[in-house]
Amino acid sequence: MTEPNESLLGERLEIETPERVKIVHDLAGIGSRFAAGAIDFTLLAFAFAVLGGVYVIVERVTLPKGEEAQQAFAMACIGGFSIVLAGYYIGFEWMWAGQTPGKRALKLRVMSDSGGPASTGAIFVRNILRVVDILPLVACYAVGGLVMFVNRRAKRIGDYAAGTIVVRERTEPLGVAGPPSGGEIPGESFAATDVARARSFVARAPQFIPASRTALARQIADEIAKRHGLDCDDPERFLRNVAQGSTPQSIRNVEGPRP
Amino acid sequence: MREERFVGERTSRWAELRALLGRAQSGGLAALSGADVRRLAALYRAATTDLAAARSLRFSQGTVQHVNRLCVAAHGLVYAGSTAGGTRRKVFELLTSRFPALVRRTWRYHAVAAAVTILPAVAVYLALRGDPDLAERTMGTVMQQRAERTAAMPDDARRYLEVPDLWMPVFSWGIMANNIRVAMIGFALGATAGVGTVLLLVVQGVSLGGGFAVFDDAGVGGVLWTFVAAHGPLEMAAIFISCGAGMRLGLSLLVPGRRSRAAAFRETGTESVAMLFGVAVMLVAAGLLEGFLSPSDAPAPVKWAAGAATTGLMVWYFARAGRDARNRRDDCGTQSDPA
Repeated sequence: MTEPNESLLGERLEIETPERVKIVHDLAGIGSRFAAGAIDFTLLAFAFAVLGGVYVIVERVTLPKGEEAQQAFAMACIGGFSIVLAGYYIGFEWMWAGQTPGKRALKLRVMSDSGGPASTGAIFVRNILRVVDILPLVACYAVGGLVMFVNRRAKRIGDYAAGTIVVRERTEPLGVAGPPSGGEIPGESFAATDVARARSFVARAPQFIPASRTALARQIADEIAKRHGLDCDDPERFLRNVAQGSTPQSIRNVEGPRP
Repeated sequence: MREERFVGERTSRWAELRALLGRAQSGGLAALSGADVRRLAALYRAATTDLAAARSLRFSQGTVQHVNRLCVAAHGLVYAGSTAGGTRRKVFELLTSRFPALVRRTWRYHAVAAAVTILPAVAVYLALRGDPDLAERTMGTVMQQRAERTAAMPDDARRYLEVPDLWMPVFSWGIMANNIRVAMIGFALGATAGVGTVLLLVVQGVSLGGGFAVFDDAGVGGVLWTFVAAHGPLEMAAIFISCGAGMRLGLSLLVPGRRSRAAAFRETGTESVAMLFGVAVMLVAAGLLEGFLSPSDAPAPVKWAAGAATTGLMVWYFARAGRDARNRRDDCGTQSDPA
């Protein structure tokens, strides 16, 4: 279980269930959190553009003259904007059990520190405290980002106040639902653990940043290839082949004999 | 190849668990029948055993992770926590006992928040009264223009705001949303060790004291007093409560006591939710008064009576409401109080 690449996969949160079995959550990193935030931000910007259009039309067409009416209307609009802003985060995380559209797109989910679903109150608090995380307004999320950067669980201030974490969620299987192949193939084959490692890499490859993706592929592929005296020019293709159940012989045939 | 046998024997069970999880993912446990839920719980417990076995036998990461993932997803559903009682009952309980009880228990913070607003307000009032030049430099001219215009009106038509009847709902809604926004920001700024909350309150106090100074100078202070009479007490109390909660949050960071700083911050933060909900309800009521009664033609005594009534209600509510709730609940023996 102590794969050498484990540290590259980011932080984990271990929780002991009432059955006294340890289950492991992968914590979302600062990068994917900001990516999810960017998606939410874009959607909100779009909503605000629509609301702004409505504002201008209503103001031009129907607003009675007079300072107070205009002020009342402006106030109502500021109120409307802030309700939309807070309602977006609180509403979605409440309805979708800890996910906003951005988080859903990146397969992230808000959970409580103890590993259970985040309560309504916790969702409320973490999103109200967004006001502080987003400071200073000129440098969006500088405070929250700094706090996320200096703690291992990538919590922002709102997460601290609410007792929540954001985890990376994967429900689709890694492709080991059936017994690992290899045993019934006669002759030389890859070890089951190597196949599993290749599968694990292939399944998670899209989530890595390019640099660690390349490094990790090279590291795993070289280790496996060395055991069977294989060459690998393209570590990722090699790992895909291993994951799909190729034998060392079939790879050798494709890649050509070793000089 | 014991791992293969291990996996092979359990594949169908895991697949069944995955299928149940898939169905529950979209609709929650409610999407499953009673028998399915029992089956889910049994499969989950079996999977935790498999996970422990796979780990101690040092099976491959792929296998361990697959079972781990099933356990993670099922754990969230099986131990979703109690949702008994329903939303309506929870809201009722919050408003009748939890909110007033919490405000009562933390009254010192709200009193400090009130002082931090009222003292600057009085100081600014005294400084600006009789000094329109200074008032103009600190407050701008909007309030002065408004005061002059009010002074120029005939006595019986004097009103602070001239809102057309048709626009009153919009006005009321705007005030509500705006006040709730300020209240929530006041709470959130508590996370800056309370500094931001204090600043916000001082600014509110300054504009309050300045406004009254300008109107009194123009000889129409009574109009402003009558305007705020109905909604003022509720609105101010709500802001004091949320900002008091914010200061308490800030103090939990500075003086966490025996708990760790993170634990103190988390406990105070989650506990404050009851106050934030309560404050929002208070501000909705205040917004209705401010949008419909305060700018209306209703005679001044009616507005003052409304203010006196809400003040009396609040005093009773925060002093008494929810006092016996704990005892009553114990009698029923249905629910244990987590506090």
